[in-house]
Amino acid sequence: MFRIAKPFYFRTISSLHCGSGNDLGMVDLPIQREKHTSFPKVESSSLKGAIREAFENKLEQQKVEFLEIISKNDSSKIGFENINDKKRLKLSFDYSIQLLFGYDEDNLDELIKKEFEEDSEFSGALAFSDARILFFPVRSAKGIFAWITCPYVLNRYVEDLKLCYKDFRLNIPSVDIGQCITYANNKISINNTSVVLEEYRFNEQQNLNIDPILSKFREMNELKERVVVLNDDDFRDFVNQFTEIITRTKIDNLTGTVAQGALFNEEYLPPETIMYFLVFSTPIFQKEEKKKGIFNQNGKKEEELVMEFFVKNLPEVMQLGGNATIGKGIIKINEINQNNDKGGK
Amino acid sequence: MSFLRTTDQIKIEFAFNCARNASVLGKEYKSYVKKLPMLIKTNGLGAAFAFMYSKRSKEEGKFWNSIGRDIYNWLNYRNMINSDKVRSFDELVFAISQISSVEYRKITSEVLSFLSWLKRFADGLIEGD
Repeated sequence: MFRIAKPFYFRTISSLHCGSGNDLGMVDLPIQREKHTSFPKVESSSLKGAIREAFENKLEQQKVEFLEIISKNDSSKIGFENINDKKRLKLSFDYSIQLLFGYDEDNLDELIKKEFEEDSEFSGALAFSDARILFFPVRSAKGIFAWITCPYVLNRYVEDLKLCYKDFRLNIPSVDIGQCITYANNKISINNTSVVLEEYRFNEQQNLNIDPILSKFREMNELKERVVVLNDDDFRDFVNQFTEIITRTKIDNLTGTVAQGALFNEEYLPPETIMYFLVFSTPIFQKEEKKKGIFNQNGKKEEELVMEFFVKNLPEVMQLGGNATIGKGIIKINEINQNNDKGGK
Repeated sequence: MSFLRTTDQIKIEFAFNCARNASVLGKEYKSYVKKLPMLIKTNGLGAAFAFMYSKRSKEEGKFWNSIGRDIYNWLNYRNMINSDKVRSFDELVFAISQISSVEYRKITSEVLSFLSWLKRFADGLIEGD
């Protein structure tokens, strides 16, 4: 069972399409959604795969530098003796990826394959939750856009964070349909009485204070200027009706006009969407101590070393979801910081 | 399970009959039905209805009027509009500017859901791309 849980969030830099295959509805290629709420989500397998790829594709230099520090203390943990230093450290890093994310022999170095020859049936020491929506960007008549959320989403977020921080509590105010709650001195209110999102007006009920949530984000000040808490049903309508729909087609090279039958449309989460997910770590799943590589250190818990390896090597910017070749799915990941009252790492 | 028909089943039958009756208008009907959901999603229901209204007496008016009539009849069937005050699609175009945001979004969802069936049947009943 998992010993450590840590929360992370990402903000989409470009539009994000984590698809759920084909659909019979209006959109040919819809995004993944939760069955019971219809809110957008990112399946944990999509997330895990993208993060694993980001780890595998790190520059050799970065892999080597990270392990040089560890090998100074005890180079016997690194394994792969009789190989020159740099290659040895890179192999050890890639070996660690197998222990953390599970065994995958695609494009794997022969030397690592040999290590797992007798036993490649084991679980990875990391686990990921689905990414859930927290703030969804919507066009605003004033201040360009607003980040909408709702009591259900905020309460769920607080519950999820309790897995990481035991005494995290917050009373979320309730909101009536057609009303909203915002921070004082924001960028989006019109005459301090209402907010206009897309073509709908919401009257402001009271001043918002969810500082304990926002202070854990790097964008704390930005969020305060734009966050709007809507009623649950209003929020649901927005995340269903105001995602990005992009129409695509193909031009026939011979005629220079649209090719027959190549017209389709796909759904995206817009840039500036903010979602969060949890990462869990366990001790390494290996029978023999010597197979645990750098995670076998005296006096340190394996699950802590696993989490440390993950956090220190997690790239800040990476690609998630489909259509990477047309620039989609660039996201910026950060930890949700427990002791962060100023915003920032 | 009960023998009550689901809303979706009733909607399917309704949309099928609408598409079958409209298929005599010509094969262009299909492309108009397919275009409308996107118009609604990108511009909003009010703007899309106003656009359909603006084409009323033009060449392509026969397609838009047929789709508009079907939308009106379906909303009326579901008791989502007051048929004493709003007696036709043309009156519905004006009436939706008078309703609350919540009602407006509810009707938008319903129209989109109805059109997704209408689109499917038009696709199946009418040949061509």
